[in-house]
Order: sequence, then structure tokens, then C-alpha cells
Amino acid sequence: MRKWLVLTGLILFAAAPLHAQQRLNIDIPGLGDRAAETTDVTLDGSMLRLAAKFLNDSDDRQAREIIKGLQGIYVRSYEFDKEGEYDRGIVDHLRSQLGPSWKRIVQVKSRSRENTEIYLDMRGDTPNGLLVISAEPKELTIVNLVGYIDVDKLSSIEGNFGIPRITEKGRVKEKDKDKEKDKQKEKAKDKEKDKEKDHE
Amino acid sequence: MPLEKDLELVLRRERPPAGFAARVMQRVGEEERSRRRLPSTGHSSWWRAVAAMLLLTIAGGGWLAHYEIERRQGERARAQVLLALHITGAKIHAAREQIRDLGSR
Repeated sequence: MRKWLVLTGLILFAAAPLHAQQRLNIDIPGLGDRAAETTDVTLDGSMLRLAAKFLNDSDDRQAREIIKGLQGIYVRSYEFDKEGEYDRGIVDHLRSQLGPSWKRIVQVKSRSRENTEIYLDMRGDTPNGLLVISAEPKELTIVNLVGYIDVDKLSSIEGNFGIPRITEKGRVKEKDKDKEKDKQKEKAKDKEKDKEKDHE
Repeated sequence: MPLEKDLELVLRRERPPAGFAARVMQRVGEEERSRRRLPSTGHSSWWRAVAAMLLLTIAGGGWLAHYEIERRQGERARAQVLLALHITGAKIHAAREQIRDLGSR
């Protein structure tokens, strides 16, 4: 009997992290006091379910779809009057919370514009969390979504909620994409051939 | 015959004890007075109706207040969801713009 209890306890203990929805600690003490403007959004599962009842307009349909699988939405955004008013090491502190299941899918660095990092918490093939860190000279924004992330729906967020779409000028057409892929394949083949020749 | 004698003995008239009639009349008077003191059924049902109406009004008012609080909380939550999605989308969009710009160089 005791063996069964111990075994059950071990199984539950081991399985607990698999079920735990990870909310990251994105609160930075003292930063709000230095910021000229602070945006704080904290919505746990119950508030999201309540909000979903009120997302009834046709315009809100996409929002309702996105939040369907979410357990929480947490946003902290700080705007400052001057550059250098916050420690960029904060980003390192946020990154240190990320376990092995978190995968960085985007990292964009710029001296003049924002540094953006986007992470997904992958449980198998299913994204179960999203972290966006956007560090500009005068603005720091952290977004943590907890729960099932529908990446397709999140990607189609452009054109809604006041967000412009990527223009046609900037968008690579499907045909050109295929051409580029073929070009890259040919380049890779050429490289391999060159390596073989070098070995010979 | 002994049966007849027994019957005569049992059924003979007996005088009541002294003060019996007075005690009976006193009790009758008391019962009448106590009956007058008790409210009639018509009055009690009226009070019950009033009490029920009051309870319904309080319950209804409480429900309306709860509904109003929930509605305000829901509207606030809705606004926060839309704000959060706007911020998230804006940052993802900005990252895509930067990637696009880098790719076009």
C-alpha cells in the first residue's frame, strides 16, 4: 500500500510541471515611479472569461478567438522622458526566468530602434506561453501571455486593434519566396560541391 | 336482581362539588378573553405579504447591484484585453517591420 502511495506521489510530482501554466514575474519594482507613463494589464483566467462575455461585437470576434485558450495576460509598459532611465539589465533578469521549454523565435537588435525578443514556451508542439520584450531607448514593454497561443491568430492581429498591416511593398510574394528558396538550395549545393573539391 | 341494583348505584344523580359552577363559568370567561386577544388570520397574512415584498425588494436590489458591478468589471476587462492585444500586436508588428527592413537591404 505504501509503495503505491509513494509511486502515485512521485508520478504526480513529476507531472506537475507539465501542467503548470507559467506566469513569469514581469513586475519591476521602482520602475513605475521613474516612468512618465505606465501601462499595467493583469488579467487572470477568471477575468479573461469575464471579458470574453463582453467581447460581443463583430470587431471583438478575433480577440475572443485569441483569448479562448489563454490563462492570463500580463502587460507592463513603461515610457520615460529621457533615454537611459532604465537599466537594460532588466531584460537579462527576465530572460533568466525562462526554462528550457522557452524558445526564442525572434530577436531583433537595433541601436536606434527597439530591441525586440519574442519567446514561446513550447510543450511538445504546442505553444503554451508567449513573452515579448521590447526595449526602446525611452520605452520598455513586456508582454506575457499564459496558456495556449494560437500563433496563426496572433499573427493575423495586424489590421485589427489599430495595428497596421505590413504593406504590399514590404511583403514578399509567394512566387518570389519560392524563387528565393530555390536560389538558396542551389547556393547550398554549390558550397557542398566546393567542399568536396577542396577535400579531393 | 344485582344488575339492576348496580345500575341504580352507578346512574344515581350526584350533586357537583361546591364552587363547581363558578369555576366552570370562570374558565369560559377566560377562554373568551384569550380568544379576543389573538389577532385574526386576516391581519397575519397581510404582514406576511409585506415581509415577503420587502425581502423580494432587497433581494432584487442586491441582484441588480451585483449585475451592475459585474457589467462594469466585464467592460473594464474587455477594454484591458483589447489594450493588451493592441500592445502585443504592435510589438510583433514592429519586429516584423524591422526584419523586413533588414531583409530589404
